[in-house]
Amino acid sequence: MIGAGVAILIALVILGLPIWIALTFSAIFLMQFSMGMPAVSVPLAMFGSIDSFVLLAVPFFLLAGNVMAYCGPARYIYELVDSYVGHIKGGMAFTTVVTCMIYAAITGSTTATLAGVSALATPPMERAGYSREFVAGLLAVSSTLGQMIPPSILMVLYGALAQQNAGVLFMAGLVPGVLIGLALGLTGILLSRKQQRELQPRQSWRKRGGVTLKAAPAIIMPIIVLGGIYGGVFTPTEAAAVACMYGIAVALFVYREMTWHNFYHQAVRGAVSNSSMIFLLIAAALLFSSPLAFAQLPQQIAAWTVEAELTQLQLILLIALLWLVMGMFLDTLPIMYLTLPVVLPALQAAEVNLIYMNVVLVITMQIAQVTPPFGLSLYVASGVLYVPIIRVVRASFPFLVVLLLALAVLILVPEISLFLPELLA
Amino acid sequence: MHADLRKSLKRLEGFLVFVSGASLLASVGFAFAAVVMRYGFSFSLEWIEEAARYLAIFAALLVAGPVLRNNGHIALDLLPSALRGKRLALHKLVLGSLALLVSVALSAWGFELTEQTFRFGMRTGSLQFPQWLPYSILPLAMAILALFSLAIMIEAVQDLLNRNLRTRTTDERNEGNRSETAKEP
Repeated sequence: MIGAGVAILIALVILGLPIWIALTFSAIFLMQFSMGMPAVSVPLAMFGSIDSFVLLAVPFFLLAGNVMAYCGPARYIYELVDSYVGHIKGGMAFTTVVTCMIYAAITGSTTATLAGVSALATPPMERAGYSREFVAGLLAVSSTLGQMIPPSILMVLYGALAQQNAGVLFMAGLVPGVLIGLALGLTGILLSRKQQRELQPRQSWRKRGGVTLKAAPAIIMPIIVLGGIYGGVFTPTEAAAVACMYGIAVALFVYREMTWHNFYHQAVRGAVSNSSMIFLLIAAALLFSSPLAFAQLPQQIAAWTVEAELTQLQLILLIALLWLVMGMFLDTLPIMYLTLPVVLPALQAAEVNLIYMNVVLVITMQIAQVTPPFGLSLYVASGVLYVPIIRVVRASFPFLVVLLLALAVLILVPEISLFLPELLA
Repeated sequence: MHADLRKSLKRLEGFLVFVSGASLLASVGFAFAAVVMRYGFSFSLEWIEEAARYLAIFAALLVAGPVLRNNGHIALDLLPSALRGKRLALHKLVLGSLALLVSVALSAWGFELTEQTFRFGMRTGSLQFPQWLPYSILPLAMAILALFSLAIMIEAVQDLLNRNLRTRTTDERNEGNRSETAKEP
């Protein structure tokens, strides 16, 4: 019966039905026919799975990110980074990657980062001789850094599923996120040295100080969030609420760029739409996982991994490979919610550190966003910069290789992810 | 779809998004107030967390219908992107029917749950609020989703009946409604 439920799910997903509806349909089928559960247990389970204070951090971070992205604060980051490294040959590529890192940390959104940074970086980069194709490839990959650099919505969701503290997960992502960002930036410099015809003049320290002051209110938002969580001042959900209020206050009183249009029509509207999409997906995925748990599928998989005498590394490689293949076709959230309830018992049975596994998951999800044929970032970059998708795929390939190498390093050297949480524990 | 009906749907969508946005902001306000009261006044209210939670759930579920109509829910668009004209309209009709089926079932069962909770007089943990009130969010949101699914089906049927379909599909007409950050994070 489980096989029939999974077959229905796959058929409906291929048909193009929204994934949460496909999951709910298949779950109802399984719950009615294989578990014989009463009908009211369906809405009860769905409501129960989203009725959590921890999950509140998701809509709050979405709103905070949208306010920072659309109402002004994040705009000054490119100018700031450019004033420090823009004069180096190939430095504009580095500027773009570092801007993406900071912008993504503030907004937590791949699409907002791509749209925001492309508007800031593309005109000066094209003037300096960079091809639009290169900019699209660079931005497609760099914009995914927000998933690794805290505060990350993916990590909040993983924490809720794996019952891990989101604050610790954020810290685990910080060092890998910065290292991946630097690797992408250096690759950008190497690849673009021949492209940049014009070099910008080196900025004076006075000018640098000015732009730093201007961008400071935006940059300290992630510091408030992380510092607050780690200082024990507030929980991740409260930190997200503080980030919202901080973003609104800064946009309103410091930058004075908030209008009804950018606040309500862009920031709030976007946040409620995305919250709806995420909450319904969570409710449906956890509903679907109950018949799987009833059939003891996760336990069977865990027992199989023990019987097969898989080492920790083999198990992690197997799961990462599964995520990479799924990432070619599906978006990050469905992959997480479809696979984690099934693989978590196996990971726990193999005594894999779940904080380290969070970093492995997030980098594979970053890769998923830039792997053809359905990498979301590739399509957004293609749409925003008007570059044919095939050229974006080609231009992003060297950066995708960097992400794949980073995945290998992060799997083989867990200390990179665990160093900071252990230091602060 | 008849112009008046489309206009009404657009107005309903605007109203739902407004109520949902206000709920989300209220939820943020409650969570922020909890921090301010704890550190500013050394005082904490137990019910604030519960109120913030229910408001955020209300905000997220209420707009499920408009988000569906604007293609904001994550879906694999391999098949629909390969279809054109009447085939695409037929595809939309099938998807709309399935969405309607699921939303009607969830609304009916959700209503049954709400009614049972009301009958037993259950109350929430901290607010001591009638439990049926938060539970009623689900049937209400799913009834609205059913309405929007029906609208999608009507649009698809009109496209199927339209002899000059090759020019513009309803998807293209709805393109303007799409939220800018629809497929995040």
